[in-house]
Amino acid sequence: MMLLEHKYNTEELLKKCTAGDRKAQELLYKQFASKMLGVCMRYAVDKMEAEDMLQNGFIRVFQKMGDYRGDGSFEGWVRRIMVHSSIEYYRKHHKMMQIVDIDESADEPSVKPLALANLDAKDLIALIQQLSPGYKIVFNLYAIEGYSHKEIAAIVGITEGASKSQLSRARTILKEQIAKMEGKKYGYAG
Amino acid sequence: MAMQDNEFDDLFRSKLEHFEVEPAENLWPGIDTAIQSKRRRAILLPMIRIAAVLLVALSLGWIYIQRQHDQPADKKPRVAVEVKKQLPPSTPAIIKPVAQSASYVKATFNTAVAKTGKAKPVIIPDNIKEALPNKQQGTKVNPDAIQVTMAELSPASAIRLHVVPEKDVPLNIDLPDQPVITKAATSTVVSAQVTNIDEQANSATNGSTRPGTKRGLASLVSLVSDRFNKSRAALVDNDDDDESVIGEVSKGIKKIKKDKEIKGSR
Repeated sequence: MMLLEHKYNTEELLKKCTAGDRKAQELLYKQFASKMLGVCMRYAVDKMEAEDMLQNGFIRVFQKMGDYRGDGSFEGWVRRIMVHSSIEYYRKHHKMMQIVDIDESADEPSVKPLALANLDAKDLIALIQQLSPGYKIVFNLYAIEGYSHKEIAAIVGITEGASKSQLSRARTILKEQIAKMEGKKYGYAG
Repeated sequence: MAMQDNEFDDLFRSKLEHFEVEPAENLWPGIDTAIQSKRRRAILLPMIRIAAVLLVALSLGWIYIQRQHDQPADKKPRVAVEVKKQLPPSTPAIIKPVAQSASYVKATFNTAVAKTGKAKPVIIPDNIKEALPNKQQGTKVNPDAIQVTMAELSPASAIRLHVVPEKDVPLNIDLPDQPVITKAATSTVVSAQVTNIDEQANSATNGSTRPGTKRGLASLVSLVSDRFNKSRAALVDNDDDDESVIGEVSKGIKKIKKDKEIKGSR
């Protein structure tokens, strides 16, 4: 019921939002806020920071509402704005992302599929949040958002090679962390 | 068994793609105020710009109108004073040619010259010559016969007499007390006398006066001298400006050259 009502209203809601209808804008915000906060959480250190990112993202969404041409889902459009807003936030509030080429021959910890499957979303979010900004952004963009290294290079302002090596390093760190968690869970060191 | 990278990524994606977190209650009011203030700014900014442009346009217009008002009030009295100073009606004005080649002197056409026969107007412009009866310069001419209507003396050509000065002798433009012949109401004859200073005495003794014509003559003379002064002033002004500009430019060039020389010598 709720879902149907939302779908039915989206187009009209957008028109009203573009016209500056505050009630419509609030409705739109409520429709997307928790989903988008879920996106921002992956880029942030904690919920507070994620909410700041969300706030900036929504201000941008309402400002640029007129730019949405209807090609692709509106949710996808909002999501992209949230991602960009999160990266922008990092540029403003954190030191420049580390661009380090790492020796990839370092032995990777092995993670069993079962171990990862047992972890819930909250745990995974916590793992990602612990990554340093550069790794976090590249991993999010590549593994979850599905951007290519070329796109990431353009968005973040690094080389494709840097994007690849940072992704690789991010995976290694995440695997280490998961292995540690597994070890703790089952009482032996990974 | 170690996981493949893409498997690892997929697991993360499947678990996090639809991850949702309920935001704090107080988040919306902040967003709302930010949007409203930005919206207000977006509306106000163009209005402020338009207002600024209007203000500038209005003030420029006001300055322009003020200047237009001031100009005539400024100029007229000043010119009148100059004319009075330079050409008192009874005393002859002496105009020295700037150089031997100086060939244009503005003067009015004189019928009295023809009458006295002694004063020699040097050159009479063609258009006026044609208007004269077929007589030689310096010979007696019946003044009544010499009538030049205003139509014939178009302002620019009538006032300009081509004068070739003899050596360095200053020219004397005598303003005679001779009457201006006014035959018909529509036609006016203009008079003035161009003589060498040596001949001044002769012409002075010979000149006979007729009353009642001074006023018209004086106003005409003032008009002529006014024009002359104006054009001369304009010339002088222009010269000054050009020279000063050229002077500054050449100074600049000299300085650059000097600097270069200094640099070169080092």
